[in-house]
Amino acid sequence: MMKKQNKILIANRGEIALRVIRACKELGIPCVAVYSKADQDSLHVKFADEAICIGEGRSAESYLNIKNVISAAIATGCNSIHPGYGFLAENEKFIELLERCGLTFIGPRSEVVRKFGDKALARRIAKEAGIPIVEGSEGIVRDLEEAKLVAARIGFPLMIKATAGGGGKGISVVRDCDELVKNFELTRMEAEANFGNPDVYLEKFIEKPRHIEIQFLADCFGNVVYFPERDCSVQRRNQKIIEESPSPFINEDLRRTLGEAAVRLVKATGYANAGTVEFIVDGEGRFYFLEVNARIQVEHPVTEELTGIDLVKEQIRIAYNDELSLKQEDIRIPGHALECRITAEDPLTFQPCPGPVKNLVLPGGPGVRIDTHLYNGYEVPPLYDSLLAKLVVFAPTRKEAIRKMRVALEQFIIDGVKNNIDILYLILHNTNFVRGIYDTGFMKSFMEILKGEL
Amino acid sequence: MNNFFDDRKAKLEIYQKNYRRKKEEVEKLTIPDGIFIKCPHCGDMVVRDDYERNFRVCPKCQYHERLNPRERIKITCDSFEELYAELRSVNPLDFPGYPEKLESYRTETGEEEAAVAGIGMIGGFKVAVAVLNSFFMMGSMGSVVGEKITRLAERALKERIPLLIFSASGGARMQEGIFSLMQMAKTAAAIRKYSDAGLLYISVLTNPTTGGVLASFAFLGDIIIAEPGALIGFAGKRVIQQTIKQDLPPNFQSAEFQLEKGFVDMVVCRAKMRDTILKLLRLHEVEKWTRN
Amino acid sequence: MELKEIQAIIRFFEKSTLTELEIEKGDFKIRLSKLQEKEKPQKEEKTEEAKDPELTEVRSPLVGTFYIKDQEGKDFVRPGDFVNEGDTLCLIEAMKIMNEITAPKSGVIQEIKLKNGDPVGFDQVLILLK
Repeated sequence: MMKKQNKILIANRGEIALRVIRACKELGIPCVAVYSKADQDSLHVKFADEAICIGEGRSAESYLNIKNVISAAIATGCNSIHPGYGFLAENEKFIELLERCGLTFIGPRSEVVRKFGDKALARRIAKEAGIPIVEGSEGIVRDLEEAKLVAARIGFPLMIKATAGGGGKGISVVRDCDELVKNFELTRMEAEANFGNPDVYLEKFIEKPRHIEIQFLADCFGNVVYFPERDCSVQRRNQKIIEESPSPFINEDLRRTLGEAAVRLVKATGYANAGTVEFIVDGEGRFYFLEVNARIQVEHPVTEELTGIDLVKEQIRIAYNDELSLKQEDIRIPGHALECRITAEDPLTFQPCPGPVKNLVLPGGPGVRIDTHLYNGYEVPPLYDSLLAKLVVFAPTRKEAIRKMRVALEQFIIDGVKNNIDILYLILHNTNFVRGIYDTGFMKSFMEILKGEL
Repeated sequence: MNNFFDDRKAKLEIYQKNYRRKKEEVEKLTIPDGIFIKCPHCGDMVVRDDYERNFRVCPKCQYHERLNPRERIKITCDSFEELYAELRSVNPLDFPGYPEKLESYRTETGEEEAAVAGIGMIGGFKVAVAVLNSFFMMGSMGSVVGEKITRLAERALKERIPLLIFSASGGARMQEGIFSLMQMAKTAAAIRKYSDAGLLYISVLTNPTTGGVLASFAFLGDIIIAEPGALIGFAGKRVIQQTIKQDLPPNFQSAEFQLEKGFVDMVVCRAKMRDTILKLLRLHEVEKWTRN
Repeated sequence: MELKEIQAIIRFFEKSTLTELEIEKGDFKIRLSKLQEKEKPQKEEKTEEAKDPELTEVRSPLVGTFYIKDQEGKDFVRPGDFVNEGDTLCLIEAMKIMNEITAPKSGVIQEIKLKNGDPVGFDQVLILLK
């Protein structure tokens, strides 16, 4: 549709850079890869049409270096930038600068990113759009009296969370007023001891929470479509390990409710391009808004394999002012998709383990997809995240998808770099997982069982 | 080690030559001017808005770019009322070219002279503020600068308010000869009278503060603050080197050097300057405490 | 054959480059054989230019566009030119800001690696100076 010739700079690395390169090439758009000195032998550098070095290995000096990225785009004659995920993908300053420079950003506008980047504002927007949010104290709770007032408003059970905490640390769960009284000061003292800051806030505790997210696409003409939910409850310390779509827990009605909520949110903010709305769903099927990820996500292949839609190509089309090439009715659930994230980690300690890939054997067959930047002899650098590959399967039923994934994991060998393939394999045999009965507490209990057995 | 990639690429290019359409040239983007600027010291590029918001300090090398008096007053005072703006320089020694030089600086900077004085409000405190202008004839002190500082000190004494002077100067103004040098004594005397009344004079030395200004009122502060990296010294480095025939340390006459040697009480970066001044004002609210 | 002697033979054999050894002495017979290790693939030699110690690589400190010609179209330097330390060798333009690249030391321009207007990446070699 657009006659003007475009050129895209991919401001990322690893498997996602490769993913975007593939989309660009399929669309016939020349693409430029950027790389840090530590990544000069990386696959995305080899396969892009052009490549330009943008700094030293450290992310802050290269992939997060806004000046160098923009300068690279201009110097190589690009007129657009795809940020991938992470790095600068949701950096409003970066996006705003691109807008001022006249570069097309393949993602939403800076003001939209800013809105959803502000957690408190995002919750307000969700509330106004009629979406339930996880109630909380909306700020620091200074003393027990204030805590009691908040508890009266939001109800039990609730969490006392340290503001300076993170990654699941500094949290106490209390189920009634007595427990609140007992634990409030204690949590404050622990927070001071562990993080140097005693400030805490309160948040409703969701029992048996499942992490459910809705992928959506919106163009600049007001068209919005949502996709079947992805269940990402299998996670450790907020890092997702396995994702599947549709969720074994969500029924038709809830799916529609969540999807329509996502659409309301998108329309309320004038969001254009791809994005994901994250929800938390409790054991009773009540859902609460968590946040919006204003970018393409790591687990996007799950939705692609399930529905057959190329989300990255759609992103690019939307950015060039094309209308969405699909309507809501075009999105169906023809089966089940499952993804395993393969990471360079010690399987038991989860310590990252960079190093050279000595031998690589990839699985295959119908319904098996691998997104990876690995190749024989590639040296996995220690400077970046430990994601090695994404293994995605699609099958007509969930049971078959699980079987297919097991076979694929059996036939996936990454020799030379410690990885979590075996752990994934064991998870795929775990009774609860196979039954589809799991929530975000799954990995914790699974690891305990595993350690107990060893 | 990665030759197989290059080999493949070479092969593909041969095949693609036959199939690929003629590559259309993408128009190279020209970004609008002024989005980025270069740090005058380290050459690093900064987004202009960030630079301005950071008080013209380079985020990479912390180089504090010189500010003109209006900018300095803007980032320090909540409000400001200028005084003595009507004072004009004359040419008492009939120094050739002096009036022309004055006129060209007036046109260039939009200021009448090398100092701006007045009463400002800082965080609720009424303060007598003067700022020297290094862009106007290198901030050199002639009769007008000396007179403004003196009158300000006298006014501050009368109203019993703190005195805050930001110095930036190449020294006494040559073209006014002894009149300039006399300003050193005059300003020092006015400050002494002010100081005898037990009032607070904060002197902030900015880049560069040298010569007769440094040797008079600038170094007479109760508290002497310097901006990072500022050149602070009386005589020129080269002159000193030639005179004593010795090599000087590399950071000679820098604010940090002066701090080390005890000539400066603290080095405060621009972002924290206002807060520091405010803190000092609060600590010295002498009028609140009575001595009896 | 004493055990000590057998051990000595084994040790000798291990150290040697022999792959097979058979010794017969009276009615003592010993045969030693080393498992053939697969030949390690030769690491392909990087075809690097023989690093001349006198050759200085002038590298780019930033990302931008390389200009060897000035505003009037005249070359800043040409191969064979002699330059002093601090002389301007070329310009790198990054987002409308010109940055001069100066010679780190005196010498003769050996090679100019890029063409006028080429994009240049971080740490890329611009000019070889002898």
